[in-house]
Amino acid sequence: MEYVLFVAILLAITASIAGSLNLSMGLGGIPLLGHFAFPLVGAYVIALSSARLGLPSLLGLCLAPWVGALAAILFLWPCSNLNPERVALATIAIALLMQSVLDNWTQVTNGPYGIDNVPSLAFGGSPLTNNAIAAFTYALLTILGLNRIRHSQFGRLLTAHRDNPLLLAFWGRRSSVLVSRAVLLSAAWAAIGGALYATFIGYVSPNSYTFNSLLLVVVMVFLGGRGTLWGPALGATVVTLLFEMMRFLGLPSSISAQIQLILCGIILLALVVVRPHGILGRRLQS
Amino acid sequence: MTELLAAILSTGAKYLVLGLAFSMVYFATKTYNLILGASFVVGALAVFGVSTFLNGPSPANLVAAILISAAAGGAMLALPERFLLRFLTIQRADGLLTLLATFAVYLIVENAAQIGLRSQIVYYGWLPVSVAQRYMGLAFTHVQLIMILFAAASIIMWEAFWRSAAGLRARMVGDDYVLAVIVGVNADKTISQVSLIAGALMGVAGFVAGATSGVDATMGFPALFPAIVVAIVAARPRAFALITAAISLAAIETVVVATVGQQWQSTFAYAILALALIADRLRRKSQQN
Repeated sequence: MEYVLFVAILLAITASIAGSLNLSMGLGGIPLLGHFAFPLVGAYVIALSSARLGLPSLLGLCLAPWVGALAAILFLWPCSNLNPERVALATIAIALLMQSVLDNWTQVTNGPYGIDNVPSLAFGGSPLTNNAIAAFTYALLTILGLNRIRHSQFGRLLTAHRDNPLLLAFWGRRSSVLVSRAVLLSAAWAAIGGALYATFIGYVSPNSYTFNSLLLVVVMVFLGGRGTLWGPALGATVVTLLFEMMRFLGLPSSISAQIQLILCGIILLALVVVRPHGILGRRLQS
Repeated sequence: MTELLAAILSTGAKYLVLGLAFSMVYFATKTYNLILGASFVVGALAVFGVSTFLNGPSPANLVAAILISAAAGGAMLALPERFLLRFLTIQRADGLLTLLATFAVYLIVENAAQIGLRSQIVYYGWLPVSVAQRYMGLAFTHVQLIMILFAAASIIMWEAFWRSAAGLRARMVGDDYVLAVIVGVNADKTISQVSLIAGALMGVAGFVAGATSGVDATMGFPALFPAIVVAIVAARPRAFALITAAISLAAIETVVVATVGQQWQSTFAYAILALALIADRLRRKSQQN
């Protein structure tokens, strides 16, 4: 039972982080491939504030989205001014830069060894129950928030920016403002996911969220359907269950991570070729 | 100081070779083809193959390994181009999908190589790193000399290609695909040729890197960063521009690393890539104005 709950908590957190990427990449069409930096920042905020400074975990959780949004400021100019491939590459470079700083700034972050003993959230129950409540609430809020954004004026303008930025400019709307809001919101929401992950696992290192983890999230978003409400959740469920089932195949632990990534690559390739709009997405008119 | 200059020259030579391979594909297709990283890894694996199956680096084995790395690197880039990227072009897939597809191919190759190498960094110590020769007061190690000679051979080959009829066709396709097709250029064949040559060059670069510094399955992605920077900073397929970009990047990196420490090298590489992409956009904007 504990194993099922453990997997469910991880699934809720990962699906919500995928939901935050869906806001920028799915609804807004912003190829924010440096998105993995935001959960990492959130995880470090809660780890440093609670494990190092001794502040309550809840305070760290409240700080995480603000620091995540602050980190996202670095991404705003590339996202607003470059073409999609360059946005993807520039944001990857900036995210790797941030990860590299966390890796090398040993006095503060303890470098590659990371920070352990990150305290769990305290609501009164057992740590597992507390984490479950926090993760499921986070997942529920992600779905409700995304649904609200999709049907708001901001969401509709964001979709218009994705489908036809020229038309948006013709209406007198500034794309850069929309893109900035989407990136900041996406970053803040992903940072909360990272913070919850850190309190759940109790440990954070620069390798907690890497470019490979982002690829996993991208596969989830693409598999479910970019820009759809339930797509990332469906993608996260399929991918997580697939990987959990692989545990029972008896693969050697030394190569299981590589096999997972190969599988990710194959799924992504198949999606790009066969169904670029994902399971729940609709084909966009080119 | 002399060691610093020698290091700048050899690092610049390495970046130049990577930049030459990347820029061929970049200027002909205007895409960021990350499969070049896989060609690099496949080329490096030839070192592993020679050491494992051919009993070490005898002259005949080395020639065989170089040919194998060129063939494997070329095929690694040309086959996905023929069967995947061309299909995506026909489907009018957006740039992000193409970029993700190239990354997916790279990821599959890298992780398959990691399984093959059992996630180890394999160093065969084929070449001694002691000081070999002094030229104009600069002390070069064997590794540095090999890299510089390889870069010189590559730039000659690269220049010969761009000056040939095939190179002219590649430039036409890169400048305006539709116009090139209208005037009778077989654009698909041209892009395949470019992919084959660039992949072969990247494969041999991987072989040289593997033979001199050791084989690591994850070496492909970091190799792409300086390659992209050199291609973007050079901005056009001219040998002088690429050499200047590669040497400048190497000089800045060597000085920064010597000042702040080796551990910040990757941080610097990421910062330079982001800055190069941003600066290129600003340059284009000012040109438009």
